[in-house]
Amino acid sequence: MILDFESSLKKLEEIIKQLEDGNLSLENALILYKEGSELSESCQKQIENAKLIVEEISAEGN
Amino acid sequence: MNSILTVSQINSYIAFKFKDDYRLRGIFVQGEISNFVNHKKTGHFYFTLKDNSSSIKAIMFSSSACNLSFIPENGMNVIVYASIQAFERDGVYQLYVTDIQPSGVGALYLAFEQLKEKLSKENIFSEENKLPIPRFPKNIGIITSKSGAALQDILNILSRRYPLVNVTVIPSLVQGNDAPESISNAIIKAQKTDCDLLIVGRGGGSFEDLSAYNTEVVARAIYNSKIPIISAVGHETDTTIADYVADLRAPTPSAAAELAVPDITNLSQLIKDNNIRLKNVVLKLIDNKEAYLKKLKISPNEFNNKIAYNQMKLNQYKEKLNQKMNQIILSKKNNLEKSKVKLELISPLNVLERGFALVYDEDKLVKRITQVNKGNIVKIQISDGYVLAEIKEIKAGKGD
Repeated sequence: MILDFESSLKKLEEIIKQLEDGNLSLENALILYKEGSELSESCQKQIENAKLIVEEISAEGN
Repeated sequence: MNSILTVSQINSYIAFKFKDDYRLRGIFVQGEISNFVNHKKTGHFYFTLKDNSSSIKAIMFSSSACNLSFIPENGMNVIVYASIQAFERDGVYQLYVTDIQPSGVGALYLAFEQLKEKLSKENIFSEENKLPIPRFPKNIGIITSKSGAALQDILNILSRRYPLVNVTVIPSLVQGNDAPESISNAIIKAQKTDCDLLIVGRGGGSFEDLSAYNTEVVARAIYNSKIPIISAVGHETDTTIADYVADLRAPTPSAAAELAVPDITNLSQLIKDNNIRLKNVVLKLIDNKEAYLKKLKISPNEFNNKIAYNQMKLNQYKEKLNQKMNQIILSKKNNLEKSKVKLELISPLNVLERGFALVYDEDKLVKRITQVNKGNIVKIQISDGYVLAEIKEIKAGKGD
């Protein structure tokens, strides 16, 4: 499932909170960390893509 | 002499005397009218003419009375044209009147005032009965003399000011005895045309010349017209009954033409002005919409700012994620270290280091005296090795 940027960011925030709360097993913490990293990477990609589109459009406009 | 006469004889004689006297024929007599009777059935007028000290009976037969432009009233000062004759039957003499002129004011003027008052009482002049004049008439009917200057004036002005309008000329007499009927008929005839405005009038003239426009028949025709009428009689100073009845009074025929139609020059200017206004309004509207649209559009800069903000947030989260994970790893590691220390603390080897020893009997740790018997060989573990020993004595209780 591909989440939109805002939802991804929200999920990432939740993961960080869960990690903060502690009382997690290392295995569970690692699973959460892995998920968080993937979300973060997907968000980064979306941002890069948005930047690209904006640049293209503003280049067309000028 | 001394012969006896009958009443008839004497009255007949007197009547003869009156008839014989030319001075009693075709005379003008001035006096005030009183006891006026308009005999409805016959149309004859009966009245008494009097002055300060005397009076005389008068009769005006309908054949003459119908030619009067006004109706005599009690108290009216008049000059009558009459003959004096005796009325044999009653033995009276009286004035046989054939014309009456008001003394002081003219007969026509009096007639005018009387008609004005009469029609005014019928509300024929009232504003609420006036028809609106169309702003852009299509077909104007002109009721005037075909040969008069008034018609030319009107046509000139109409064609100059507003060439778009159609003109229908409905000729009428404008003065003379037949003029009132002619004007009235022309107005009635106009009702069947497609005229949407009528101009009724004539050029200037004496009060008598204009008198056709001061008649009841013309007034009623104007009043009954379903087409709005502009009156245009004589000069500015002349006001006729027709002017009072008309839906709009123009001081002169030329003025009527100007009142009837708009000036095309002004009109085309008005159209131009409106065109400019229209264009400006639309342009302004477009400007407003454009400005609004611009407001709605996000500029690349704004969007870049948004991206930068999200990037920053993402970076923060990334950092936090790693930080938290590292913290967790660190705390797990700490826990491990603590456990190690604890483990070390409870390790038996550690205890042996402090001088304690472990006793095994056949590899079983000896915790109770009951586990061993005298003579058993046990293994004693100490910190750096073990020794073998034989049980010599077994004794219960805490060692001393």
